[in-house]
Amino acid sequence: MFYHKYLNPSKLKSMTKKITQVISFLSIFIKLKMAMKLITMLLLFGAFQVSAVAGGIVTLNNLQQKIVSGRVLDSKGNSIPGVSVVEKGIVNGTITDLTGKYTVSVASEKSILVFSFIGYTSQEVTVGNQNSIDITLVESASTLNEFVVIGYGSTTKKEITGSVSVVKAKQINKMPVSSAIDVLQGLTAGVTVSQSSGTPGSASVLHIRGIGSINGSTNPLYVVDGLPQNDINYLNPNDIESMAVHKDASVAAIYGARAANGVIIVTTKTGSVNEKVNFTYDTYLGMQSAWRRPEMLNADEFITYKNLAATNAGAQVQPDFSSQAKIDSVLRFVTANTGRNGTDWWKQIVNQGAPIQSHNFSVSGGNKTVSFSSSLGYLNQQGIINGSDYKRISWRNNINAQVSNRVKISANIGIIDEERQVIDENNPFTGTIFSAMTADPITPVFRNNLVEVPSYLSRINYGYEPSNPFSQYSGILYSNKRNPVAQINRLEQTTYTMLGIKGGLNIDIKIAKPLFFQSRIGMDLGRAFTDAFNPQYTLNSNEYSTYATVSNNTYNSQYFVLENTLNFDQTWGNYHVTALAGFSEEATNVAQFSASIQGLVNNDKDMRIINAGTINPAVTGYNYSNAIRSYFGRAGFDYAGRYILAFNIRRDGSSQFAEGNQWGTFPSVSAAWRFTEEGFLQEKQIGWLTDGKIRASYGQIGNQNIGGGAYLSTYGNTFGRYLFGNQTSAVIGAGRLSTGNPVLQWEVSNQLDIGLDLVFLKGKVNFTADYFDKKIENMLLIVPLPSTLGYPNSPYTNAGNMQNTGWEFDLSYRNAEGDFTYSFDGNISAYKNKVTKLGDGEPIYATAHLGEVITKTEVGMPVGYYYGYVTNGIFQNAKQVEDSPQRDVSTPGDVRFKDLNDDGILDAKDRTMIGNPWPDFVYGFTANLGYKGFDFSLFLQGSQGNDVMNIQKYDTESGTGFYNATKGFIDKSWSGEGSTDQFHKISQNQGLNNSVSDYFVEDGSYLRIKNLQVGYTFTGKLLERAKITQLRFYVGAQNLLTLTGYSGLDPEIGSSDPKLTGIDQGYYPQARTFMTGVNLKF
Amino acid sequence: MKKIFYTAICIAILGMVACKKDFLNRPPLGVQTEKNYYQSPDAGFKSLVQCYQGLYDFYGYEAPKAELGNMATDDSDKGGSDAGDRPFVLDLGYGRALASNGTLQDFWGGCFRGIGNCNVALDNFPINNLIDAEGYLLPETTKSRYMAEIKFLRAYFYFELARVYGGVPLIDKTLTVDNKDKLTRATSAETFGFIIKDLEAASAEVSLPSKNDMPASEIGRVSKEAVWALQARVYLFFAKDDTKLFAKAKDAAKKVIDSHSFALDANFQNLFLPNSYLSTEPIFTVIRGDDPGQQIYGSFIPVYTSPRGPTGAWGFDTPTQNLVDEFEAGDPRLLFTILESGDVFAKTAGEEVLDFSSYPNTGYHNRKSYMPPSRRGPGWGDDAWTFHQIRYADVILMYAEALLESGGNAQEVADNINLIRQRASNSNHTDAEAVSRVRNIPNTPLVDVKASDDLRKAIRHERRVEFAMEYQRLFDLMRWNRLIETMNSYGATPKANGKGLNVKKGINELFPVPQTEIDRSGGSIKQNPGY
Repeated sequence: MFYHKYLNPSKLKSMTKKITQVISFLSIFIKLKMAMKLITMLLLFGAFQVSAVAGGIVTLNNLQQKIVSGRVLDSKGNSIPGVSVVEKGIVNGTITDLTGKYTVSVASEKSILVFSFIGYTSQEVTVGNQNSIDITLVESASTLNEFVVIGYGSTTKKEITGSVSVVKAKQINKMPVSSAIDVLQGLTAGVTVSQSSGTPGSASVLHIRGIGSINGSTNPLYVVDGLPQNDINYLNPNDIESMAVHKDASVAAIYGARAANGVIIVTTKTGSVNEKVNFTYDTYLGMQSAWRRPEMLNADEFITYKNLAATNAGAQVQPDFSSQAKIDSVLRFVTANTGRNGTDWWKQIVNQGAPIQSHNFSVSGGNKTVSFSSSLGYLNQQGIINGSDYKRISWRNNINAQVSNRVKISANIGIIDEERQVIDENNPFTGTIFSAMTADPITPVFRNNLVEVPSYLSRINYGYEPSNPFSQYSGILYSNKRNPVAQINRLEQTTYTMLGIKGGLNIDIKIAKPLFFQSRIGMDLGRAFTDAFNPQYTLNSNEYSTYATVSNNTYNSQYFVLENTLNFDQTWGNYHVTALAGFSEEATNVAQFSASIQGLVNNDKDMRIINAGTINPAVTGYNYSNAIRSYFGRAGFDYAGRYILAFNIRRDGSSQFAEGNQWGTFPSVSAAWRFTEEGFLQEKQIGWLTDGKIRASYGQIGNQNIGGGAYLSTYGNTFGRYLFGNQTSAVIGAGRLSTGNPVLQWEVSNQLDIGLDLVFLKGKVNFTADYFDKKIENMLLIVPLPSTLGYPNSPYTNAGNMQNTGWEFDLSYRNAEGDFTYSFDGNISAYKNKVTKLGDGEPIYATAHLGEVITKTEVGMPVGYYYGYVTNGIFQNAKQVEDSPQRDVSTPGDVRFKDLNDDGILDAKDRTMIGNPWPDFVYGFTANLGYKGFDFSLFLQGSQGNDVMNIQKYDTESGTGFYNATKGFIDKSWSGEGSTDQFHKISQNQGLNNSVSDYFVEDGSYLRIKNLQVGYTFTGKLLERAKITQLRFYVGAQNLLTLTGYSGLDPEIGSSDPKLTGIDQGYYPQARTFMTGVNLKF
Repeated sequence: MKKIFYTAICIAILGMVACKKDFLNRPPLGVQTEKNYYQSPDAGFKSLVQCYQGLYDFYGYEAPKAELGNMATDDSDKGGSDAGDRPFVLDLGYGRALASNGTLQDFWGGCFRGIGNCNVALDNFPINNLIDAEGYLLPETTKSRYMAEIKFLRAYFYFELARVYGGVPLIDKTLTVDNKDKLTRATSAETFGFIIKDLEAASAEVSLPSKNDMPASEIGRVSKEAVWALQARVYLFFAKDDTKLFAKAKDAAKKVIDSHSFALDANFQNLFLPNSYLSTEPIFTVIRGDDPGQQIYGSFIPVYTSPRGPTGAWGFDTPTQNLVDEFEAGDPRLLFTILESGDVFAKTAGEEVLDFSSYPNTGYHNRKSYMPPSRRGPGWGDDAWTFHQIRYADVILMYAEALLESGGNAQEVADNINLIRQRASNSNHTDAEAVSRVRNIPNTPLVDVKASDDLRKAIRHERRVEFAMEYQRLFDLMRWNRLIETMNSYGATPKANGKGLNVKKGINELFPVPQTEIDRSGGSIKQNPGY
């Protein structure tokens, strides 16, 4: 059932050709424009770094501090590089260098240094009067002492009371993916990532523990180095140090308002004090291809198909194919211009072997007080469908300065510059992929050198202008679809660019032990610009534009956040108490406008300027602003690392609600019992059980993520014109624009989590299990109102409840035997989504292709389940039709539907659940093997039990003969009594065949080899002499194999609208990528 | 000392930010609220315009009107690419429209949105001092003229609803969300009373001008005569339940005639050519233009109903052979009602030859809503297609019918019918916009109707051919109590494909109320019998 077409030896030749293409492409990889951008950035980078370090040296003189140095060794006496040496309780520390040495400045003799490194047991040492501290770390595969970043602070994995999964740089670097969100796919239980498109640079859809809302946002909150974000798609995965996914309320609650769908805290890489300046260069090059293609009818078969559809309906056949002589001359036309089979539209739009390349250069280092890191990344990815290219330059800088022994300042700034082209996708009306499947094979791609054109096909020359390159394409002859090649060519005239500047400044002030204060200012500026052009052209009466149009669109957003926290951290013997009180404000301002004009002189590039237009100037624009103000607090108690208790409370005010309803208070409580710390259960007694912890948390989080002003009825211009007295000057209407709901308030998510963490065999085996119950109340929902009320819209109301309950399991095993190291990680998670209340109980329907109801959301059922008729085979003869409720509309060969309520009438009441887009469970499995210099990793990811609604079949197997059909459709379709009970007949008269039914529902389960990689790390004198610290080569593949029963292009179909999940409407498929890469450190 | 210093810094930073009081006060920008909108310049006139805009709504008004008025009857079939193209439209004429029918849902919503806009204005005009565009207080007479127009429009939308669904919920002010399960349907008679009350208020309004007193720049706005004409239409419709109303219909129509504000256009086709709104015949007309540069977007009806194929249109609303057969030989109106394969129209370069061969259809399309390429403007789909909701010919025939049914003078009835027939005979017999038409209309004048003829039959014939494809057929059949019989006998003809055959007495006189309205009102809105 799997497809390895492109591994087929016969394809190797074309692959070799592609490799040559990639190499030649690389030789000019940085075009002049990009080179200029890079040079400018490097210059800026230099200036920034020099001034920063200089600043650090100046402040150094003012410092009073105690300097401690030493060396960290393992039990065999070998030095360990990269050990984290941190001053306990505050944000200060370094890591050891290559020889295991470190130097750190501490506040006083009372300071405690914590030495930790993955795979070793952490050690704490009180500095006292020592100036030199050497440490021997004992190996322990346990990760219990690893730091975990939580909201406004950090804790250790041992002490955490909530459900958290952490993904580290080491795992991330194994996945050469271009998006930071995709990193999380399949790696941790409870997180589902699905691609909303295979387009390079497109956003994936991430859900933590199911969907949190029906109308509002379902995105989690991302916090990148303290900066709250809605999306991290822009982030270069290479820059990420760790991602901590907080799934329950215990930690998320401190983020209150925006954390209802979970929180993902992202930390980027920074330098360390006293770190020698080192450079890394990571790169990979890859070739992407579609792993599957649609097989459609060729010219000959298309004619047969189309005539069959007409004859079976008793209609006259298409005049072009009405006699054998005519068919022959049509086929002569096809053969002479495109070849015997006619146009293979898919081949014309697909970019097999599309190159992807990523270069990442970073430098980091530090002296006694200042450390820095800077990372410059460049990604250039072509889409596997022509005309969807993506480029990204990202530059991220972190700098930390210990200004005095009380004050530490850290700053970071990231600059992202993106440029992309897009195709028309996921759209069954005009989408390119849909068109490539349904356009007839008779139409040639181009019409500028046609031969043997029969007189009745001369309409193909309609509107042809030899001098206009956009007119060289043929209009599709036998349907209203766009010529996909022409469409791509037109759309790639439009470029979308985005510049993002994201920065933050942190000030840490030690007031007096145990009190310290933190202040953080964050900023996120977005500048998006669209330079759009649609040419003047005519292909046929469906596809033309009388005038060329140029339009520019700008979108400016700025977001500011200010957070202040006062922290308390004190240990009395076995008692450890932490507390935090904080205040934060965040505000967003957006200004958008776009302008367009028509009537350009011609389609030339230098004419695509607004001022060159002559007619129909148009402009639109809007501004909006929203804000949140919050007060929050946390208290944590820990007795001997055995009983751990934490409280959070947050009070949020949101500008999204009317005065009086703006504020909401959201508390949470969590507790953990490390039962292995109890005397009778300690490792000494049990042996195999290293650590065990039971966790529980319960809390509330608010959600206000809806469009602004929903509480207000608004009045103003409707922008509608009306004409009195003439056709050329209009009067403008105004009045009520929207009906608001003044009593709108916070949606509340109540989350219960019970978890168990077990560590066996000194950390070789780790097991985590979680059960959760997430109840969403007062859900912000657009409940459809009777249109009798005459409102222009249905306002938001707090009208629904929803529940997600589920289980998550993570199991990992890692071990080493001699030179052989290996680890296996598996996770599986399952949840059930159920709507428990919905306004007055009236269901919400969602429509897709052709505006028909396709999903239903109602009480007691999961959100957005597929809703339609149940098929009951095919009518085999007239008697069966006559005996059925379909006697007036159907004929033998049509689909028979079940009259579910047995009332003898087939009507809307006979529709029911015909599919569930939500999987029974999702899972991931990773294997990492290492032997000497070799490493091997395998990552599998899958989804089981979800259905896909293959809406493409509406057109590709509708039997109208209007669009092209899939190969084999003629043979498998009903052709007389007893021929098949599965596929309806081919006929222009579709009757009810295209009603939404389980005819279109398929099993969307899949298992995918997401990533496979083999690498080799070089060692030896040569490298040392060349001052190279690390050199690794690898080859790998992404999406190498997909096992699925789904017949469409790709079973992995995400949607940002939960009500339209898993509906294949001409979806951009995932690429299969073969890649090779280098990691270099010097 | 240092501790105090740092504590001070912390307090200062905290203090800096926590004071801005209206930090959370961020209402939407660029819009107003009920409080200040009505005090803004020209709010009155703009609100009036918004009430008119309901007539521009394609899916909520124009399309359903065409689908019900034409396609649900023996005059026209659905058309489109095939049976699966907007299949619910097909159901209307087969007597099997479901409560979930798209057309019926859209029409209900469109009309009630229009009513909602009227109610918002009528709620707020009396309690606010409106100002004009220059900022001066709006004279009371102007305000009351606006309100008279709005009442006409509210009556217009209610009348559309009453004909299709029977009695509907009567809402005369803006309701709040919590009223959603208190909506109940009035009876048909109550709905009639509500409509007449609004129309009487409008016609009694002295500041509502007569057509004669309106400047050319106000064509398209409601005149006193438009109110009377609508009164005639409403009385005539409800006369099926109460024959006394024929006399009232007659009087209302007579007032329009006696105003001498209108005259039949000498050339029938002028009513469907550019600038038709300048003709002497329209009484209530909806002017459409096509100038995207000025945000003037026209009607979608021409694309919806023009032939498929080379034109790129959708090909709905195809006249039946049965309708074509209704025309007498020599009636030029047939030429301006239908199109056929092979008809040729001019294009900027070349010709547009109509070709209906690539999809199922009746062999005809609607000429009255077809626009040759020269009139299509920059965006085919936003067309300067002006439509006359009420024209003078209708008033004359309504007068004739009301006169006849109320026992009036037969000769006067015949004379009025003949006005319409003579105008047709005297009109051009060639298509002013076509290069060539397949069909030739012989130059045989229509024979005058005599007072001794079956005048009821004559009027019914005349209405069918005069207003063919102008969305009147369904409602004419309804008020003649002829819908079921006509559709049943039409269904028996071979080309009907069974349409009309299953239309049933006691059920199909009305269409079902949308199920969504019943559900969303918690069942307080009730369904019509039989659905």
